[in-house]
Amino acid sequence: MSPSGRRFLVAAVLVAAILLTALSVHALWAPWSGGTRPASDSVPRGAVTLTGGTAHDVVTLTVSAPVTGVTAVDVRVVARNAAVRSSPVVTVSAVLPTAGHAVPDLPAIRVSDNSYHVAGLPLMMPGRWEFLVAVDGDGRRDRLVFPLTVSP
Amino acid sequence: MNDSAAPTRECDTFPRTAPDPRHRLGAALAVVLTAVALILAMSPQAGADSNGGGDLHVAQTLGDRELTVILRRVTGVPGPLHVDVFTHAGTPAGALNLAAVPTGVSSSASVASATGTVVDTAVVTLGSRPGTYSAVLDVTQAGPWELSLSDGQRTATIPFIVPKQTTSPAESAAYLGFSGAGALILVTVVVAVRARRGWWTLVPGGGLVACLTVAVTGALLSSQLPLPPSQGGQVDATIDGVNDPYASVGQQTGDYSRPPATLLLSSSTDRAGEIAELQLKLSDAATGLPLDDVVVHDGALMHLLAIGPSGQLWHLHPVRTGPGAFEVPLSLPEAGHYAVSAEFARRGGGVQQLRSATGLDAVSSSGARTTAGDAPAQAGTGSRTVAGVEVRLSASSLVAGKATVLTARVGDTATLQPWLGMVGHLIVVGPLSPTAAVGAQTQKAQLWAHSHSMGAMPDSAHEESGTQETPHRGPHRGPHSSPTSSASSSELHSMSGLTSVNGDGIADETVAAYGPDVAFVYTFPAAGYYRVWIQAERDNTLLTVPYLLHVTGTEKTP
Ligand SMILES: [Cu+2]
Repeated sequence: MSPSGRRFLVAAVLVAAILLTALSVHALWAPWSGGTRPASDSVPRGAVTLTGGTAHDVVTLTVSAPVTGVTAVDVRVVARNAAVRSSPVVTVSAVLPTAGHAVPDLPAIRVSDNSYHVAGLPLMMPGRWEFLVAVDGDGRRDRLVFPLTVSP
Repeated sequence: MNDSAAPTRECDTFPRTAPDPRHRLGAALAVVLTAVALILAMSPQAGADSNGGGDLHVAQTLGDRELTVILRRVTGVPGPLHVDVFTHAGTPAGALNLAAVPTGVSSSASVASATGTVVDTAVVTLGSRPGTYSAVLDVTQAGPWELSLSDGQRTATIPFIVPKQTTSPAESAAYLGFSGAGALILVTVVVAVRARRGWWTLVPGGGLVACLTVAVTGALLSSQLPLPPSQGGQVDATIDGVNDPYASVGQQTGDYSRPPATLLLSSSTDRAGEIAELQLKLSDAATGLPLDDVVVHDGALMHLLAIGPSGQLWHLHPVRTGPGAFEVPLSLPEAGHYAVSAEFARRGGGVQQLRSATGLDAVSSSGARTTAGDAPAQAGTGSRTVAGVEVRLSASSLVAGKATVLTARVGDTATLQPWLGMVGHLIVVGPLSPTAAVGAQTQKAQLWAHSHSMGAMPDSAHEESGTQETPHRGPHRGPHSSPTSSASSSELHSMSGLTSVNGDGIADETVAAYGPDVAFVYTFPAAGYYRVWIQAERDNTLLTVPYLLHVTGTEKTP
């Protein structure tokens, strides 16, 4: 093999190494740079559904538009004990703890057997919000907190 | 890589017969050794843990028991959660019912299906002797959890996080790179030995170089890239967030702090001679909503200081009974005013100290005691015996605006136990009238301070601290070789932080090996009389030693 061929091979390997390094650095840096959106928020315009629970109910919250502005919210309350047939009163609110912003308690309207709907919940600014769902019924009040990031 | 030079030199002799295999073997060996050396050098950094957090120590005043509940770190899920309950001298025997409840939300309905329900229970049977009593509960998933403790009358809930071993993207790159390099080493060796043309070695060799480059870059970056915000500590924890903190990083703000809190205090009784159930309600100062983001700080969710009419100090740890709701029993031995203050930290950072604006007034009843002599009438440092232990306090210079070194020698042996992770606690209230009732005076005192000690002050720092106001045989070191002066270098180490033997979380209360000197550095901001209490634990007993100190306004020339 000629010396020029050897030099070409070495150069090729070096270029490959540099390219790979550059790629990996770029890939690693992306999640932390302010301008880039993390992978999980790649569909920020879509609805987000979160499930939580109490000793009595499984509660599912769907926020239609987790972005700054007014969003619709759907709540599903399923009793853990299937024998329970009473339909509770559901109230939805939200706070942005770091800023101390709060949204009024909004009564959720029952749309079907265990589904509730809030037409307009205002989210004033982006940040790590807490959606608060209160379930009143059977002589008790259960309160659930759903942390959710609201995008600009 | 220079190791590829040997086979390629063989190529120059082409088209002669096959090259000497020993050369190739040597070259391959060189590649392997270089790679192994690199891997050994880099891997400890790549393996650095990304999800910290050790054992959780939580002091709990549950009824008439002062307990230290230790939740050992869960190392894998599903897996065991070891709970140790440490009792003190005088803690009544009995059974505690423990229950583990997963909390938090998830985008997966099946993952969140068990949240809010009890998944495991256990009973801890406390003996009458002080010591550690244990139980094991099974936890099923990573995420936020609650442990509840019940003595049959009251139930305390402790929020905690079951962590998941996570790797950052940089660490994953390092691992992948090293794995790839490892595989390519074998390929390189095989090619080097088998290939007819030596330069074929360059192909896997080049890949090996590339893999190592990625691995080294990842390993170097993993220690420098910022960590995602702490789930539960800085931001609200979710099941998804704990399982993949890197996915939900979002905007890195760096500031997670939340508004101040407000404190509402109420009591079940105001009759002296009874035990009052104190209810403390914390609310967010901006929204007024119940404040349910109190995190464990200094070994407790909440530290409550109460000062009685004649100078009794209680340092209690109210139990969490619901969102923003805490409870603690306080005995009211005599009629008069009780001043109350609470210390806690919210998620996102910042410790708060809130003094109840009202405190508590106890009216006299038949069971009340009329006089109590807890508060010293005479100002000054000196010797005092509490629970059979002699405590000698010395102060460097009690001048306002100048750092004062307060050194208490508690007993004569190095057998102090760290309480709430600290060798000593100092509580300072003032300026106040030295003659009026302590409870009422402390209620309106401008300053409540709470300082900690990590042990004795190293010799050099102590010498510079100036003259003593009260001359007496204090812990100033003479020519005698006390065990503490010979151990001053180890004290220097302990000054940098009391950590447990395995470096996991705060120091263990069962280790009775600290002291007897307990030093505090505190700068009194203003002149006047101050009520001072020093707290240290010895023989599983918490000692509370009251003093009255006079701080002068200007420095006296020696
Ligand atoms: Cu405390």
